Amino acid sequence: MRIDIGIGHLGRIGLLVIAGAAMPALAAAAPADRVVLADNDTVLAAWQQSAGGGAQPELVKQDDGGTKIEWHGGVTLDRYTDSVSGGTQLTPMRSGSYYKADIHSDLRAISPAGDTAFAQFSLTSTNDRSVLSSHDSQINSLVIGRSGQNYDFRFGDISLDLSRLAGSTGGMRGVQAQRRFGTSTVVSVADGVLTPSWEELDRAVPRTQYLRHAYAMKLEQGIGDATRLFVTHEGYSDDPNTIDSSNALLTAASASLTTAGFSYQKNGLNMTAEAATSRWQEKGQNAHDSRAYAVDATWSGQSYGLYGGYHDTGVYYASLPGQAAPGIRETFVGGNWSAASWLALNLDLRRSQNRVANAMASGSSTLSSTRTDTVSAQQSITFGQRLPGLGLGLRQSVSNIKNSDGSSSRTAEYGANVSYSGQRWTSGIGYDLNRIDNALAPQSAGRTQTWTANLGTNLEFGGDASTPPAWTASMNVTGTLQRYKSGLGTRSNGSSYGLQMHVQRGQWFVLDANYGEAFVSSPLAGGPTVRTRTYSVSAAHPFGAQNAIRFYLNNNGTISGAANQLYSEKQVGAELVYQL
Amino acid sequence: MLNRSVMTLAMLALLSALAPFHAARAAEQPGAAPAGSATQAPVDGTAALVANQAEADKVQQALDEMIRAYEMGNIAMIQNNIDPTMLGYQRFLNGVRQDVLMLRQIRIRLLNTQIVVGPDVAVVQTDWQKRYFAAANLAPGEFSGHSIILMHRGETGWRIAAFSGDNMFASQSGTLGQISTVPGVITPVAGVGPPTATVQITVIDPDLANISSLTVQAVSPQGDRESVALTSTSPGRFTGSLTVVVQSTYTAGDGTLQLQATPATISVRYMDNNPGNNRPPSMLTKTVPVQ
Repeated sequence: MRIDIGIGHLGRIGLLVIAGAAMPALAAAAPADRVVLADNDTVLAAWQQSAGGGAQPELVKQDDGGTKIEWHGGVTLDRYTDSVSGGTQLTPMRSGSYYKADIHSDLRAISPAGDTAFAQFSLTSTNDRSVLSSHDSQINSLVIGRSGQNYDFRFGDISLDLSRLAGSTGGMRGVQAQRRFGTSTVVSVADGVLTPSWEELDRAVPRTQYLRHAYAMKLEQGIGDATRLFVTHEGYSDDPNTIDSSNALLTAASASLTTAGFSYQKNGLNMTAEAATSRWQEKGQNAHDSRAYAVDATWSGQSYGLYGGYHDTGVYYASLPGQAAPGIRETFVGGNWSAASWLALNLDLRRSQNRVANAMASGSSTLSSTRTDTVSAQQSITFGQRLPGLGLGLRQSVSNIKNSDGSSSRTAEYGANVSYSGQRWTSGIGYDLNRIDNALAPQSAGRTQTWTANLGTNLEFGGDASTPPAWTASMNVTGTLQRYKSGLGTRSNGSSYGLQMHVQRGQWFVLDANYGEAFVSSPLAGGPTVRTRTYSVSAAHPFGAQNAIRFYLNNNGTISGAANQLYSEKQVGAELVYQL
Repeated sequence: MLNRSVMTLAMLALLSALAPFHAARAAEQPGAAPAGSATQAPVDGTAALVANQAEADKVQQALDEMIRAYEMGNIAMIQNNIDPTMLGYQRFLNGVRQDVLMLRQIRIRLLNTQIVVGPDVAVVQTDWQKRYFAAANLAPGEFSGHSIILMHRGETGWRIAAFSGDNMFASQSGTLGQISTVPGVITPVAGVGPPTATVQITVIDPDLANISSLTVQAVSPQGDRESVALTSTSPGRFTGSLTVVVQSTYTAGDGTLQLQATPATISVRYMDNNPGNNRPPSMLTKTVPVQ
């Protein structure tokens, strides 16, 4: 077996996966605290874009049969100072000097047959409690496994997507395996613990939830080339000894769930139907059995797409991660149709019953049932060669809501926007109306009118048709005006405007700047207007293939308002992105 | 639990052991499972299954766009970024509409964020804090919670397919209520009559942002039960007070919670119809020591 090891080369190991350092990502003002893995083509495209359209490097394919070992790693370091005022209800930040480090590692061994053994890991470390609330470091992801054409096995963070009614194992730390037998049978199993983080699992931080021991299984069987049958079974049990009783608002519970269904796909038709039964029990209480049904179908043609479905989940229906909402009965149909080259239409009709709603009419938290009938439509219109780049969008949505206590309400939304997108300029104006009528519960009613406008431009300097421009710049101005009227008759106004600017000089320098202000007037007579100001500046200098240093300034806060509305967040910092 | 784990591990081991015997048949496999089958991506190739973090940035970006749209009250954009076949789709939108009406200058901050990405499915786990000014009086408020968001990759990019945990986007769509008392430890003081104390009870439940009052129940170890009405002080925040008296007898329903002796522990109970995590309606219980 031949093993090639390379770090940081474009040649025989393939282009290294970039973490958080693709130049377009750097250009954004957002903190580079995310891990970005991309395939070679994506990375090459990003490189070419950031290099101003320069020559694209070529990958050298490995032509022997050796196992490749790839390692991709990197670190993003931030050092910054916050100057903050205002209470905890206004800002999560606190004054002080902080550091933040994001570290990631991705180690893979790829066999000639394509089987891959992998170990992926990422970690954040900081002393800033507005980033990590109760501890100095957090494991963001930890996955170790092996995957081939017929199998997949992994340990750590697992996310097995089981079915619509069974949900997924998202949030589970444990083991997961998938295995294909023959041409049409797939078995998936998972076992582990549901917990918000690795740190809570280890009790490195105080637990906020019970540790939930869980398992899940799925069997899929293909019939023909279009139909698959599947059965899932899962269960969980909260461990009541894993949290202090003074922190436990909820009683520990256990549940089990079995679902069965089929999916069909042929000639543009996709259909899935599933039925489920669950048992949920709080410790020391009676068990609740419940059932659920889900049918979904989509049908795609050349110029149209249709969808429809029926969901019905019992009030006590319980799935493993709780992704299947209980107490819902919903029937819907909808579709989109490109009626002409200049006209696209969307329609959605829906009847939904929520059996775990809170009674609005009585103004209390009494359990109630609410039925909502909704019609939503959208129209998109373009004007072709006569007015290239110009578009008109219209939307309407009307809902009638009836509560089991006899009350009712009505929601109406209407919107229109005109947009223009040219080679140098973009612009748009829009209007939206959101109105809720409720005679019995006026505190839940009101009307919001919104006007929006934006204007943007892209500029290039120092280039011609054969060479990329030396400088590129873009600028965008936005404005919003809102009028509110509550069901109780009070009125207030809101408005905001903003300016965003981006300047880039080849691969040498990137500057981003934003400025915005927002106003909200008080609905109370004589009340103060809350005025918020936000601005930020970020200057980055890329170096090497994927590295950069960035300096930034962020400012956000209220500059007028009552004493209990005033806060200020100022941040000055430097960031280093380095790929090892 | 142990037996179940052993069985599962044994099954995992069996599946792993069988792997080599079926590898040769890999080339015969169809390329993909039916779209919309709501299953894990097919076991059809190494690249698709392992190179799954390629979309992490897009997942984060899609979630950020949803948050910005919610903060701006852009319902149309939110509607376009959730799967119309999502369970609880209408309840979610109804909640967003109520929030747009009742909250101003919403700011959501994510912390402790973790993203696990697969080829067509991603799971985002994050704590969140939502700060806002109440539309009625511009009083500042804060909600917080922990969300697990399931996202699917469709033709138009990553879209939210399901929520679990506490829903950050839509009041009424499920967030676990919080009960607190002031003081945290009750100390009755003897005066003219028997030892007495007043305790302030606060419930924070974002699902009730449009509700004006709610009722909690206070229970003593001896069996006295009192209903306590809490009134809304800002969207989703309710406050009321309870008098606790130490005496030998009790009368249920007289508005005063009587204890026979101290030290003891009283319970404050609140029925949360929508406790988050898509858990069925559940009774929340807060225990408060009495010295």
